[in-house]
Amino acid sequence: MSNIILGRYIDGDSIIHRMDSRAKLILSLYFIVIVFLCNNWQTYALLGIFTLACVLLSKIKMSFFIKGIRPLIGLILITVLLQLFFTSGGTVYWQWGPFKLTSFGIINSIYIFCRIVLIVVMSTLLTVTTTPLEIADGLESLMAPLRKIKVPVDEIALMISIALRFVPTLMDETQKIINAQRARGVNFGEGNLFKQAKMLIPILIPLFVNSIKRAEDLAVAMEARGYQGGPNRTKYRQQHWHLADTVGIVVFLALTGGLMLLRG
Amino acid sequence: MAIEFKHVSYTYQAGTPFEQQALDDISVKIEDGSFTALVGHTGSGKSTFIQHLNGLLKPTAGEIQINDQLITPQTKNKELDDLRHQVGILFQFSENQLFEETVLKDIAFAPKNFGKSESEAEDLARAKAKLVGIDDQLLERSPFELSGGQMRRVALAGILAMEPQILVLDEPLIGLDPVGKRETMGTFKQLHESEQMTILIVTHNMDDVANYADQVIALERGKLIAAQSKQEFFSDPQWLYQHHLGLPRAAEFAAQLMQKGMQWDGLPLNVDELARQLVTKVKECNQVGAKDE
Repeated sequence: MSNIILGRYIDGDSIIHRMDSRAKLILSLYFIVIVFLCNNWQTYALLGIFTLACVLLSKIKMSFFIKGIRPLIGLILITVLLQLFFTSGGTVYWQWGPFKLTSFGIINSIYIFCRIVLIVVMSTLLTVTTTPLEIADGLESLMAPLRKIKVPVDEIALMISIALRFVPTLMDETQKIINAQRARGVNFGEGNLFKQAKMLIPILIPLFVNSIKRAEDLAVAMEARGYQGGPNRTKYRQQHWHLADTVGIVVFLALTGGLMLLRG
Repeated sequence: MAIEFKHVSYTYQAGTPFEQQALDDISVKIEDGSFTALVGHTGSGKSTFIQHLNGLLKPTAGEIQINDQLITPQTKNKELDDLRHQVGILFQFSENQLFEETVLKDIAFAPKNFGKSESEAEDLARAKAKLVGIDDQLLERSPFELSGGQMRRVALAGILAMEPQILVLDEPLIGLDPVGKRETMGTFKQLHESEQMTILIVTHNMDDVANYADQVIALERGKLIAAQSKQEFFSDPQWLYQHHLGLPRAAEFAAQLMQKGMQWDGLPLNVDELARQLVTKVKECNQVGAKDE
């Protein structure tokens, strides 16, 4: 449970922490787009150095990001292997039925690997330097124009912030229920697949029952305090666009320019 | 045959920014057949402590001896099956562990996991349900139809059905009504006296400590600050206040009288003792008064 790093906030006081969540959200998305501009080692090197600089600016330990990648290693490996054995073109080194190892394949799989790592590190950077509530506020504010076409923006934002708010609570509770059932003699992670699936029942049933109970309590508590969504609702946390945010956008634009120049 | 902690430390998420030391060099012994209260503030390490008692957590340093089982940081989970059987832990808000279709099945869950046959487990379940005061007619109902207090009893029966030698209770009385509290504590006392079960109870209620326990272990920020008999533990009100632990109500009352000049023959810990000493004092006063006349 405790090694899930993606989606966890680490308190800090770096320039990245202080940036506006809207800027961080836009730039994180934009980063995913410009990763696809890379097509040779110079562009990947530039983006790699840039990402490294961002990580250093956040003052969060490097080992932390490496740990964040670890749970995704399976996914990355599969993607890389597919790329490695199914790309044609260039010099063919080895072939067996539909599988072949080509020079293009090797280069492509290295690029894909870099691409995924860069995106994961940048997304982790967003979530470790921005509290879930800031992210929800940022999303709400960015989605505000959609109100014009009758998208229930406030409700969506409320749902997102409640969901994010309860992730740690649910993880905590899951751990407690697992402990209680282990104390009653359940050995998780033993036996065949069918047996292991059956072991989920003593965890999932209490978890669902509690979640539904909690949702009801929360709804009652919110109504008792007269909660009402809508655009007229004021915010406790005001968002402020600072100079650093504008600078961030400019840096990203400059980066895009650099990538365009170096592109092969 | 007892529980012994030798220089046990435990750190959560060692090596990450969330690292947190929950237990710090704890050495303590819990004797067989004792009724021990574990007290301390929220965050003092009580829950971490009890999770070591059946190997849900293994110490990051030091070792624990429970009956024949030695737990070190290297102990494999597989070796701890037997220990789980010997040590029953009833967690906080234990009603959250119920999941089966019927009350009976839920109580029989643990014994079945520990290798009892279906019918043996059900017999055990019926017996333990009776012991904790669950009506026979409730046994075929869904546990989710019961009231909170009844669910708590079902959970307790579910742990007792494992027939543990050591029973660990993490704040078992929270949220129960006064009658439920008294009956549940009565059940624990009965288990302790008639079956010589070793009991460790985590509680904030000093009255329960005074009324039921014989030993007290106190933790503060992961460190052991006291492990002694209940009489010794309550003998120094000043020390207790310093550590924000407080006295039982009867002792609190007696301590206030002491400030006004009353002398006690050892601070009374419960209402019975307080009443007995007061009666003696009143009698003494009467005798002195009679002589004066």
